[in-house]
Amino acid sequence: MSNSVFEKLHSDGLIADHTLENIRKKNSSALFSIHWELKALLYIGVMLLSTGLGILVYKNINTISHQVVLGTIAALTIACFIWCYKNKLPFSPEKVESSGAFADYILLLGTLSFLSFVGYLQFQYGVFGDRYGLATFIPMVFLFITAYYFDHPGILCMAIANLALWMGVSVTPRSLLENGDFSTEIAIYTYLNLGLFLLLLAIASKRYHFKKHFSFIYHQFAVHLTFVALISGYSHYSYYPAFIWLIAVALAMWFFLTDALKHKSFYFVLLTVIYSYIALSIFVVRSLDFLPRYAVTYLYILYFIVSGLGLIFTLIYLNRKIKA
Amino acid sequence: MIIYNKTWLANAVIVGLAEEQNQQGLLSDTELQAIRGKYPVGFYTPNIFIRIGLFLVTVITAVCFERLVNLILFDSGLNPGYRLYLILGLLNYVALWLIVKKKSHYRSGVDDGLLLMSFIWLLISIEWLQSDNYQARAIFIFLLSLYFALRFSDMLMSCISYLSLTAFLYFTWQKLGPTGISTMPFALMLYSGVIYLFVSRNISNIKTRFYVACMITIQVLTLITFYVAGNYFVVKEVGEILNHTKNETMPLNWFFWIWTTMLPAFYVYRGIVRKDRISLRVGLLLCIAAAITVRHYYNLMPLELLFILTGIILIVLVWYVKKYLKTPRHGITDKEPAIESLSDQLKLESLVISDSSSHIGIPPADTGTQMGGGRFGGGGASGTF
Repeated sequence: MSNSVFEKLHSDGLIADHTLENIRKKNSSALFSIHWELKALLYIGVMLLSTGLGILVYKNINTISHQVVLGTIAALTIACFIWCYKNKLPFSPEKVESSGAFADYILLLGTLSFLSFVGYLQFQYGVFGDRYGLATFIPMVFLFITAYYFDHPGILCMAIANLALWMGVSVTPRSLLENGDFSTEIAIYTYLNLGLFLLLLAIASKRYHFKKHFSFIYHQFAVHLTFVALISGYSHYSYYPAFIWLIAVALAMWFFLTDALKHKSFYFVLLTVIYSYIALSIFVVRSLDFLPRYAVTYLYILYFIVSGLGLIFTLIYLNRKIKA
Repeated sequence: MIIYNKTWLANAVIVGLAEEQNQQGLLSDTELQAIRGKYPVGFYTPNIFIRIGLFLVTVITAVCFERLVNLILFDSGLNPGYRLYLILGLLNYVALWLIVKKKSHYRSGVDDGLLLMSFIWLLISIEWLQSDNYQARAIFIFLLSLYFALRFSDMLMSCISYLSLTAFLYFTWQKLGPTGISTMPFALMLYSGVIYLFVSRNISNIKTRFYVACMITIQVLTLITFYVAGNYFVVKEVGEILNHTKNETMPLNWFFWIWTTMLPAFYVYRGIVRKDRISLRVGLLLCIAAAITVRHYYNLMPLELLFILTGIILIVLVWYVKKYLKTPRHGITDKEPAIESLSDQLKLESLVISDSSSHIGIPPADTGTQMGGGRFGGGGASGTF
């Protein structure tokens, strides 16, 4: 397509003969790829099928026997996993290229139907009883193993979400005993711990070269969870005791920003800047509340204008720093 | 007409193409450096994430500025009404002009934000008049967004200008009375079709070379409005609202049903045959619209059965197509493209050639074998001198 551009560059003496030849060759053999279109169709297909099956089971729960339903879902799960097992490349601690979009989605279908299997088992037979921790722990372990064994980032995300659910669920019954306000406090600490734990996982996967490419996913969840927990921690406590949380936010900002600049990641720079800005704004708003009413509104607005301009220069500065 | 430095815009395209080849390992780093040296791009264009951040902050700051001015005016007992927004819009525009002209911002987030806010304030200043004349409103929005689209080659503004022109046509046709209402679908079809053809014909024209992204946006929209104009549900429901009637059937029933169900399939077919990704993707999306429309009137089976059957059909279809394309056929492959780039479809080469040849001074159309390139090259020369 762009041959003529490169011919022009060639005649200017900017590119070598063989470069032009290679580009020409590649362009003449260029194919029209419908990769993404097929992938999207497959995704819709898998989602429709699993949703449809879900509704079918839900509607007919009184007419078909539970064994049949469970058996069908189990058969689907097993069939998917056998197919994936047969078609997969051997396991390696490095990144394993998936054997194609189709295999990815079959694995996803298998995993989703496994989750409905466990859910159905618990709902109908209550195999886990009131031990809700266990009911979420088993799927979580299963998801992590699947994600690592088949090298599937999407399932890893589901596993992390399940981990949060597990930690949340195993916290709640205890917090119910205490009075309502403490429940948020426990949630804050839980999610802060989870965030730090995921950060450790991110660092560990890189350090020990075990599925290094998963590090990004852990890191991303870690940044969001840590900052959200810290900021809600800051808003939760009263003005003066909350300063310790503000210091924690500043430390987190310093850590994530240094890390992002080191790895030249624009994405993490943006996240860190936005979360820190939110924390700073909450601090300013809370501090301004001490002032008399008539002055506050003006100061709020002035703060946002000034800080907005400041943020523009900060972002431009950081962008230049990464590119340098 | 366009506010940005035209040489830089053209250079950016060349450098972009070279970077693509560099990423695929076909072009060495030293060659890339040489190209960058020869075709300098002086724009300030940060990374996409920084751009998003800058955009958000700019919008917040602009809104806070408006709040502050409003507050001061309110406290001093003044009510300037629409004039305030007119002035704010113009002020934003001046800031935008300065940022682009003096600081060379190009798609930096700051210019995107100021452009949007300037447009919104000017829009509010008109909406303040509370006119009942929808035609006048639509034509005003059209002219305003058209100006922004042409001056800044902005995709959102081109989108708004196309839609407001569509609205203008709709209101005008509605005023024609019963004849207007009954011919409405055909008028809109004709309009969308004409615009689509016009844009498609001119997408590789030298004069519109800096508007390629905008033109693609318009192509997508025209394909959608062309379909929607004849969609059974839309024609029936809108017709009933306009006529204040409630009918079981409507004239030309069969025609609209064929249109509703067959046009998406035709888009997909056309997309594959002509290797036109826009037509293909819009067609696939509209298939969903067609399915929903059919289901709205004919409840053939329960929802879950429909989901399961469609799911199975899709999975089997994809599996079959993938098997069929194991070795590429008809120039189509299911392999992931090396680089997901728009430039494949944009036929950018014409615009670059003409521009570079005109300011370096090599006579165009000298390659003989390159019929297309030569023709556009000539056009570029006459355009620049």
